[in-house]
Order: sequence, then structure tokens, then C-alpha cells
Amino acid sequence: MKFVLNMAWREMRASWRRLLLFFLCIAIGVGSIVSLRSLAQKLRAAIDREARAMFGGDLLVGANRMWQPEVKAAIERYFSSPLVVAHTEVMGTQTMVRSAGDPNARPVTVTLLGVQEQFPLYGEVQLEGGVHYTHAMLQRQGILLPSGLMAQLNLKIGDEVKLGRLTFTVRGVIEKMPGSAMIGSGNMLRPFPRLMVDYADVAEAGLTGFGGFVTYVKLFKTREGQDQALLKQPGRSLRLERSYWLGSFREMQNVMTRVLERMEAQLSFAGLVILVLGGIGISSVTRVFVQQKMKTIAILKCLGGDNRHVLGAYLAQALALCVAGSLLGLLFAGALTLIIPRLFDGVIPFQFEAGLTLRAAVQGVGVGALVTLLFSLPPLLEIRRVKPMLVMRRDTAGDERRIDWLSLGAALLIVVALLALTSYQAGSLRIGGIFIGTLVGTALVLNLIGAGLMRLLRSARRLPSFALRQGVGSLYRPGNQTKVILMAVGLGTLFVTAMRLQQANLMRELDADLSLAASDMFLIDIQKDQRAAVESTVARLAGAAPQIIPLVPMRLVGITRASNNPQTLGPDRLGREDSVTYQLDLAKTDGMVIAGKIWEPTPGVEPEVSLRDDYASVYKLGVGDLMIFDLAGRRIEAKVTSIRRIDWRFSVASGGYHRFRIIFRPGALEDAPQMFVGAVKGPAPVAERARLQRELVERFPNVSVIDVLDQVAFVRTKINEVSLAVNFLGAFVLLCGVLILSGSVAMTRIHRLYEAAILKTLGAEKKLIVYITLIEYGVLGMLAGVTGSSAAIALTWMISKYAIKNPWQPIPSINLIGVAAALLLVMAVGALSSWDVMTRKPLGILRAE
Amino acid sequence: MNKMINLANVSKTVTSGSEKLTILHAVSLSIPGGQFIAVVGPSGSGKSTLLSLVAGLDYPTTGDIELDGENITRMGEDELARLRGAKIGFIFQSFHLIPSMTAYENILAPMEIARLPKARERAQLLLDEVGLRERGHHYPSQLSGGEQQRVAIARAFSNDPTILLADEPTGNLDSKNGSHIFELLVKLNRDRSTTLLLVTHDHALANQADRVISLSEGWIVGDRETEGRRDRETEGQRDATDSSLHLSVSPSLRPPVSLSLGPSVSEEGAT
Repeated sequence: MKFVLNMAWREMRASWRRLLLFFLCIAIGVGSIVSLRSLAQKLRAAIDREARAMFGGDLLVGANRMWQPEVKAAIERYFSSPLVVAHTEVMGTQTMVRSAGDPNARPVTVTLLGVQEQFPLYGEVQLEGGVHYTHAMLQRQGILLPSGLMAQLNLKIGDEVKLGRLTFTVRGVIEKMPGSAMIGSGNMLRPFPRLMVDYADVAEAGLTGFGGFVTYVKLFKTREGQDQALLKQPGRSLRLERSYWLGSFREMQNVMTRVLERMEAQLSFAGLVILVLGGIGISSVTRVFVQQKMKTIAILKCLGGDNRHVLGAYLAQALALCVAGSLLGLLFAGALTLIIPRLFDGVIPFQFEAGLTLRAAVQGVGVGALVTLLFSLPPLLEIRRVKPMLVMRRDTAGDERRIDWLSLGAALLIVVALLALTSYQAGSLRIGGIFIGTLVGTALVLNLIGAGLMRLLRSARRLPSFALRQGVGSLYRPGNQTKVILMAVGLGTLFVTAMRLQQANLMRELDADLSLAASDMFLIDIQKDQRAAVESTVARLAGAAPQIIPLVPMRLVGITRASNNPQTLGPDRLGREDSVTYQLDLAKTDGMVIAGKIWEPTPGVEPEVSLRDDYASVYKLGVGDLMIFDLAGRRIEAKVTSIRRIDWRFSVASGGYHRFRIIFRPGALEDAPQMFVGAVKGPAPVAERARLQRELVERFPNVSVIDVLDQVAFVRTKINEVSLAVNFLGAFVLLCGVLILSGSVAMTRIHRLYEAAILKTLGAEKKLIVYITLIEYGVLGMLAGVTGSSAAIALTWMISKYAIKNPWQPIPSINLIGVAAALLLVMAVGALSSWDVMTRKPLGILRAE
Repeated sequence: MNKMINLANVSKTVTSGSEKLTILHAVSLSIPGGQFIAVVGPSGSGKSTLLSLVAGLDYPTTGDIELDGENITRMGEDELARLRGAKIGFIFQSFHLIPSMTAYENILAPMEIARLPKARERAQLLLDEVGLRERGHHYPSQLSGGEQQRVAIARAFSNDPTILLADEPTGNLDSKNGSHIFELLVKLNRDRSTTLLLVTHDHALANQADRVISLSEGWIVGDRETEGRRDRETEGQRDATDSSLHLSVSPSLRPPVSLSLGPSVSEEGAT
């Protein structure tokens, strides 16, 4: 053991520069796993800690309309339960806020919360400057705003803002407030800023008109641990009433925990991908290292060292490097955890501490050690094959071509262990299998290409130029590294080009969506009596009339199926409230009719509906079925006459009728209580868009105007940030490729030195040696680039078609750049690694030989 | 006298492409303990092959090899490695020091592998003995050829081997350095009564041995006792008549350890 450790130390001391790459591979891989896992674990811890505060209470009853008397009665029975310690009501809506002091300031879409005195039941409202929050701050039309919005509207405490038809005074700046999960924030990607006013002021400001997008919430605080008991109490009446929802913080916590567990698995899988790529680097570095240490190994065997001693020494060295690399990886992860949370700015509705978790650190270092062991073992096993006879004769091979069962066993162990590791990291055996399958498959394909290439090159021996012949000949001479380089650079090119292609396609998709979009500004909550005025105002300011879509809230209460539809549905599936619309000319929608026939563009006598296919399949509805709706106590029976399929690609910004699940033929709903939403293609200049928003909100305070361009700009920024992370991954893959490449070049260095020395002695100028080297690596780089780039086309096409179902377009410029970059990179690394081959004087080399 | 090395009908055939080439033909040889044997012959005569077979670096195609009464022919590689560590010292033409280790560590390595006690003290004494006391912390690349070979000699003796194998130990050195090295080798060998098998081209060096075995094309073509041996036996001193050699012992060399190197060394040194 003493010898093993001493030897490991001596070797490391002498070879640390060569092993730096090994060390870096581990550090980057472990750093990635630890930082990504830590992030997910910290998020989970934050959710566990803040679940009640995020939810606002232990239990919640929510509704999208004013409390109906029967529901109110049921809820009041709740209030009186001995399990309830406290309760409060919250009202939330999306609306526009504007500065009262600056008439030119652009209105901003916000989520407005009206709260009562008891709010919050959990957590606390934290205000800037350590100001203590009391409900009194909201009385007499006081308002609290987040700091970002304060800056956006150029406000300070004491300034006034307008919401609906009321003017509020800013009384404080919100740093953190509970209840982020109790009311939707309007947007998955970018939650709107949340403001707080007194409960009564929301209605006072005129923001609760018919059909307005208002959420009514009743929150309950129960005795410790009694939330589940209370959840069972309300009886079936509330649960069956589909217009209301009942939930507990535990359900939300469970859902979020599951989401985060999946996220942790996916993130740590991404980390593992990096580590496995690092593992390929480790394997290559170790292989080169063992090759370079053959003589030392042979000497040690001559001196009495058996395989256990020698293998142990180099294995100890690998593990020591792994430990050191892991420590550096932890530092690296520490730095990453400071950067990564910025990517989630504004996306995560709660605060969490950045930093490493002990569990992630242990997992990362453990996985790092395993990957190191797995990837360094096969090259280290080669030590067993080194004969002590090597000290007497350089060529000792040739007499042993037996099957090496230990190596085969090691290879099998690696595949199985990697499969287990990736499945554990990804949380799915299928994903682990796909990853390992793809890795092994790609490696095999590249290997086959390498073999084919060498066969092809052998037939090209009669090349006219000496430099060309020598350069190409180097690719198949004994001990060549053609396959290894092809694989390393091919995989690197594949990863980087595929990422670039995917990113460019995604960006192009966003551009396409916007240019195709008929509308990029949306008007929400237009009341019936405002419709004409809104239309004319928008037409004046935007230069085009808006598309106004009516929304009628109805509940499906029954289905009478046609005789040819034997399907049934449980009664608990009915009763849910839906916003339906009516539209004369259904042919103008973007949907494709897949069953039945669309109506003539004339009002119908009998009510009839067209359904979106996904809705129809949920309710097992077909053409000819009769749907029975409840419209504010009125019963409407409508016949299904068509089913449409939607092209979701146009859904982001087009916002037309086609998105509706249920469209009525005009004639049945015109007199029903309804509200309207509008969509318009806004003017291009930002100032004019702002003016449109400002004037509309000024004239119609209850109407919200959402600018999709803002949202898209935000999404773009996020995509760019994510791309940065992805590019970092790509850069690492490329770095691994470079490491493997330079390692492979180093393996043949002595051979090359000798050959170049002889050529120089025979009269070759330095220039000729340079040409030969460049031709050799040029051919390799070109082939690796073309192979990797072609594979990238196939990969991104498959991802687009089968995984994200997005349209895919070839972008030849990216592929060409990929090939050129691979070509230049391989030539540069090859030439630099062979620098001394080209420049060293021949005499010294020949003497040394 | 006991047979330290015994070869019975040992041959070695290698395959080159489809052709078989016999490098050594049915060699039988018996070497008693403590003898200094020189193996001479032109290039390709099978000298180094013979040496590597005796060392257990390679397996014979036919025949048996016994070292100190143990048949090594059917030993596994690890068993052979342990045998080398315990009984054999090596000196090579191109030194074969481990470049990542200092001179001192190179001497230490075989003792560490064999887990010998007091290895550090012993390594330091051997360094002193070969006159490199001040160069112990230098790496092989920082030493001259002669110095490297002295380190190699110290390493070869570090395990107190019963058999010392030397493959052209002066072949890469100039004549002056070569003489010093040879002198040192022979002196240490005699002091420790080691069985020395020396492969050389140089007949003058070979004549310093007790016995010279000549090889040609894989056959033993000569096996004779030298005059030097007879002289030594009668005079108990070295033959100084060969004017082609300058055999002065380096002044820095000390007499063999009187020694705290371990019981066997001191006993042998005393005998």
C-alpha cells in the first residue's frame, strides 16, 4: 500500500500538467451535477418551507364569479368549524395600473389583490426599508407596489396611481408577499407584478363587472395538522360544484414537489451528460497517459512490481485526481449557484437561497468518483498487458491475441453501471436507456465511419503529391488515432451544431409567430356597453379595427347522445363553467374541420355548436350529440354539428376564435349576459403602442391591454439566457473534443518526431512537414465536421418532429460554419500539438532513438 | 557448489508474420552461485533473449529454467514479478530509470514494492556507495549517463539480490565512464557474492568474468573459464595485466557497508 501511494504521488508530481485535463474534466462534470442538483433541492426546500405562505392558508375555496348563495352557505358552515382558527377573503384580477402624476406614462398590466384585515394567514408582507405592514396602510385607498413597478412607473411613496376608476396613494414598497400560488399570475413565463389594495376597493374601482377576470378566494387557517380533516368536511356539494375549487396547501406542495423532483432529475441528468462527456475525456487522457508510461510500467514489473502493485498505483492516482477534481468542482458549483438563480428571475414566485446542499455535494462527488472509475478502468486495465520484456525489446506484441475476459467484463460493467447511473440521475430507466443507447450508437456509427474511411484511404495510395500521400497515409498507419479523433470531434460537432440549429429554429419560430400573428395586443374585460366605443378608439389609434370576441359563461349540465354514440360519462364530469363564444363565419378560423360540417354564415334557428377536438374527446362527444347548457338559470340545448382541430403553432399570438373549445352559431346567445375580449395588430412604434394602451385604459378603466410584444421580448431574453447556458455546455463538449484530440495527437508524437526527423535528414524542408501535418488533420477535421454536422441535422429534425413537435427548417449556414469550425479546430490543435514535430532539429531525435 | 541458474534444453521461437524464427536453440547451462558469467556474441546471437528468459521477462518455447532451485518456467506473471523483486537485480544498457522519480526514489522503489524494512536508510547508503550522495534528489534527466547507470547499479543491489543480470551495462557510456561503471559493478558483485550474468559485446570486459559463454545464431558455441578467474583463484586479486582497461575505483566509493543494511548483507560482506 505504501508503494502504491508513494508511486501515485510521484507520478502525479511528475505528470500533473498532462493530468490537468483529467482533473478539469472531473471538476466541470462534478461542478455541473452539484450545482444543478443543489438548485433543485434548494427550490424544494423553499417550497416545503413556504408552501403555506405561498398558498396563503391551509385550505382555499376559489371561484371565478361572485359567491352564489348556496356556496356561501356551505362555506359559512366551514367558518364555524372548530377546526378553523382564522379565515379571510382575497379577490384578485388582472388589470392596468397607470401613474396619476404622469399622463404620458405607459400603463402596466398587473395582478391586483384585494385583501382583508386578516390577510395574510401565513407568512408576512415584507416592505422595503423594514417598514411594518398593517392593513391600515391600505385603507382610504392606499396601495402597496413591488419595487420593480415603482421604478417602471417612476413612483415614490406618497405618489398616486390609477386603477380602474379610482386613484390610490402609494403607501409602501413590497419586498415579498405571501399568497403567490393562491391566485394565478396571468402568465406562466412572466408573472405580472402583484399589487395590494383593500378588498372593498377592487369592486369600488369598477374592476368586478360582469364576466371580468376576477378570482374570488376564501382562505382558511386550521388547527395544526387538521387541514386534511377540514378538507373532508364540506360535503360533496362544494366538490360537485364545478365552478368552484377546493384545495389544500399540501396538494399544491405535492404537485410542486413532483414537478421539482422531475426538474431535479432532468437537471442532474444534464449534469451527468456533462460528466459523461468529461468521462470520455478522462478515458482518453488515461489511455494516452498509460501509453506514455509503458516503459515505466515495464521497469516496475522488472523490479518486482506485480499487476496489483502497478495497477493499484495508477488507480490510486486516478482516484486522487478525482478527489482533487471534485473539490475544484464544488468550488465551481458554488460559483454557478450564484449565477443560475438569475436565469429564474421573475419566473419563480418565491424567494430561495442560492448555495450548495450537502446532499447534492455528496451525490455529485459520488457520481464523479464512479464515472472516473468507470472511464479510467479500461485504459488502466491495459497496464496488465504491459510486458516487462518491453525494457529489452520495444515490440513485444503480436504473440497474444486471446480474448481478455477481464476487459470484456469491465466494458459490460461500464455499460450496466452507466445505465444505472443515468437512469438514477434522470429518474427514468427509459431516458437512461435512450441516452446510453444514443451514446453507444453514435460511437459505433462514428467508429464504423472511421473504419470505412481508413479502408477508403488505403485505396488512395497513388496520390500525385508526396505531401498529400504522406498526410493521408498518416491516417491509416499503425498506431493511428483516426477513429478516436473522428469520434471525439464528430461528437463535439454534433452536440454544438445541434444546439445551434435547435436554438436558431426556436428563434425563427418566435419570429414566424409574430409576423404571422394577426394581433399582438389583447383587450380584456370589455363590457357590452363599451364595445362600440372601444372598437372606434382602437381603430383610430391602431389604424385597424380590433377583432372583438364575445365571451359567454355557461355550464355544461347534461349530454343527450346521438343513437350512434354509445359513450357514457359520469355525472361528476359535468357542471364545469366554460367561456363560450359565437361566430358567424367559422370558415375564417384557423381550425380544420375533422368531423361534421360548418354552418352557413347566417344566424341559426336552432342552437348548434362546433367543438375543439380535444374537448370533444374529453367529453366523448360526436357530431349529432346534444349538449345541455345552463346559462344563468336558462337551459339551452345545442347540437354538435362540427369538430375542429387546431394548429397550435399559431396559438401564441393569433388569439382568434379557433382557440375556443365551444363555438355557438349566432342566434342563440346574443341576448345573454356577456363580456368581450379584443385582439388587434398594434402600431409598430413603441410610443404609439404606449399611447394606445394609455388612452384605452384612461377611457375604459376596467379594460386591460396586454402587449404580447413585451411578453415575447421577455421570452426572447430568457431563451437567450438559456442559450448561453446551452452554449456553455456546447463549449464544454468542444473542449472535451479538443482535449481528446490533443491527447490522441500526443500518443503518436514520438512516432511523428522520428518520422519527421528522418524526412528532414533526407532533405525535407520544414514547410513540407507542416503541409503533411495540415493535410492529415485537415482531412480528419473535414470528415469529423461533415459527419457531426449531418448527424446534427438528423438529430434536430427528430427532436423537432417527435419531441417538441415544432416545424423544422434546415439552416445550411450553421452546418457550414460547424464543418469549417471543426476543420479549423482540428488543424489548429493538430498543428499546435505537433509543433515540436515540425520545429525540432532532427539530430537530437535520431540520437535519442 | 549449488546451481543458482540452471537451463535445460531452453529454446525460444518467435513468429514473424507466417514465419517462425528460432532465436535460441536448446540451450543447457548451469551456473553456480557467486559466479561472474559473461555472455558474448554478435548482434542477433540471442544474448539478450537468454538474459530475459533467465529473468522471467519472457517464457521459453521449450525447456526448463530453474533459479535458486525454483522452476520458473510455469510461473505466472505476478509470481515472476515477485521472484524478480526478491532475487534478481537488473542493470540495462539504457539504464531504464523511472523518469518521474528522483535518483533516491528509484533506488527506494524495489524495496518499497518488496516491503523491506529500513528501506530509506538502505537507499541512502546505496546512494553513498555509488558516490551519488549529493545527487539523490535529482531526476534521471538531470544526471549524466554515467551517473544514471550508477543509480541503476544501486537500484539493482537494493533488494540484496542473489542474481544480478546486466545487459550491456557500459554500452551507452564512453570508455572512461564505462570502465568506472564496470569496476563498480564487479566490486559490488564480489563484495556481495552475487551471481552475475553479464551480456556484452566487449571481449575485454568479458575476460574479467570467471567464465565466458559465447553465443552465435542462438547456439552456445563456447563456454570457458577465463585466465582472470584462475589468477584470482591463485592470487586472490584482480588481473591487472589487461592494459586496454583502466580499472580504477572511484575514490568516492566506500567499502561495502559494514552495514546496517540487513543481516544477509552484513553476513555476506563479512564472508
